[in-house]
Amino acid sequence: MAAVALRKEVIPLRTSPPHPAAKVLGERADAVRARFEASTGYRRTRAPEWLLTVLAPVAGLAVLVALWALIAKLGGRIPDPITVAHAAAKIFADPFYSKGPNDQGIGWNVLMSLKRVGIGFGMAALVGIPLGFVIGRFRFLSGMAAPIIALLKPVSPLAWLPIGLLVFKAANPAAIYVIFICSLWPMIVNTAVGVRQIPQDYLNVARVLNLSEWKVFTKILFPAVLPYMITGVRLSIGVAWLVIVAAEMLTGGVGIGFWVWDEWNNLKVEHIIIAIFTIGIVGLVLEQALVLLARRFSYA
Amino acid sequence: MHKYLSIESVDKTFETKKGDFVALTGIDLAIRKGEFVTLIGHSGCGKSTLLNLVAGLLKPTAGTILLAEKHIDGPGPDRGVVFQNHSLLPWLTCFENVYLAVERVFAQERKERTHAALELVGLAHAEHNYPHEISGGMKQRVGIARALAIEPKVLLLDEPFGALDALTRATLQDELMRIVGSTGATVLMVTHDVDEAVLLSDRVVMMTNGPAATIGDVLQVDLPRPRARLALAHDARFMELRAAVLEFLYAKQAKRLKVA
Repeated sequence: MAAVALRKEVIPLRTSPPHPAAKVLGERADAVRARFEASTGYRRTRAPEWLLTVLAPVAGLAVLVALWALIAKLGGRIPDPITVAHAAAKIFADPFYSKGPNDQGIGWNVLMSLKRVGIGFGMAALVGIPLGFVIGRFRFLSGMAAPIIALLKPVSPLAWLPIGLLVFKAANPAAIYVIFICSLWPMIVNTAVGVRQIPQDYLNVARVLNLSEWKVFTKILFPAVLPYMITGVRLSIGVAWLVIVAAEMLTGGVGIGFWVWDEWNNLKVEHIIIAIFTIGIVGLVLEQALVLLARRFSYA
Repeated sequence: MHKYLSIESVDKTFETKKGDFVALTGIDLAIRKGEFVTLIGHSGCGKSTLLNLVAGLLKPTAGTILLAEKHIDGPGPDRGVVFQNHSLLPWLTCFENVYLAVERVFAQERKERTHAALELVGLAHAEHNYPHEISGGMKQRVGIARALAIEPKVLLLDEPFGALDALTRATLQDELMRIVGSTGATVLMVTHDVDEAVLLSDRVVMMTNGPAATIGDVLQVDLPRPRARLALAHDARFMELRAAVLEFLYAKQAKRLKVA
């Protein structure tokens, strides 16, 4: 009986097997696994798991490249992986050259696109997060906003582009404005949901402690909503990165979307494939960075 | 008897879609300074409602509640509340959770007071842990520390050990007896555990079944303090008192099974 009582006093053991994502936090994952093994007496054979996490994605990519090589071999105008790799080596050897406004390195193109996403998204955050807070807090405002959001959210962001061109009379602000519009909805909706999900217990704590409005906001509302806000940010950035490529194809200028279109006009298909991979990798990095940020602010 | 906390002819009616629901009616209870009183009854008897009325989270439909001759009109730092599910803020460390309460009430020695409160519940070593890093029993201790740190006139406990396993519960009951003994706190506690009620209380207030619940009987627990759990287990008077509460709950106020 004493042993049972003692065990109850120690920090509760995590009995679920480690989440694959915990890998990122190397040491912590090891500690969790060690505790898991200690608590269950079950020793996991380590090699297969380690192999799986590395081998499976590598195998997947290999299949992708093999399919691509096969399609290239069967004919058509698709260049094979080796041709593309050579072209990529050349492009990435000097990503930041600048030979006039219409001929710049891929690095500049990506950075220009990221800049547009950053500005459009930043403005959407400044508007969307406060708006989400008030919509989540007041039922009447929520009722007012519901039909507007329901109506405008499903509209393709590109449908807004002509309006942007009309209002701003220039391509660059029009593209930023499209990013603003498409980033806005996920931010409003997720923040509002977060505000509505705040457990009544926390609000009761605020009431019995008689906390000031400022303390309620900084110590309870904001931290409770933060994980939802980060989800909104993640969705917004994802959509924004999808949309910027399409928007730039239409507006022109320097940017990865326009670069794709330009290379299509030059019939450099291997450059288009390089652009596809580049867009994918940048999107992946943005997503992973925000996942890490979200993990930092999640409270188990 | 000097009334410190005084509940006078309190009624509580909730407005629901199906019409008014009378939760409590005609509650009269006076608690002395330094007294430990528990409210016991079957679930749905409105004992938590009564506690929330004293906490100021709810307002009585009729009657008044006075604490140290002051009318209770909303929550305030003169009452420390411990919730059943600890209600610690997960993004703050144990220290910060207690500090949040302390800084609302005291202008000086905030850190010292926070520290002292955690020391009182035996958690000085876990100050900088987050709630998810400590056990359920430890979380509830932090909840008690947070309530005590503001030096309330009365400590309100809403089934504080209900979510804990039996062994941890016993440890925390002993802890609570020690803390209340050393601070002389006035306590109103809601429980559905007969042993807990008799072991801890000076008086056990037994409530009738809802709706329109009221105080059915009040049992004076005349066991000398300090009380030792093991010694009382064989104590005839303890058994008698325990039997009296059981009698009330399971004979007089037996819950009838609803047959659909």
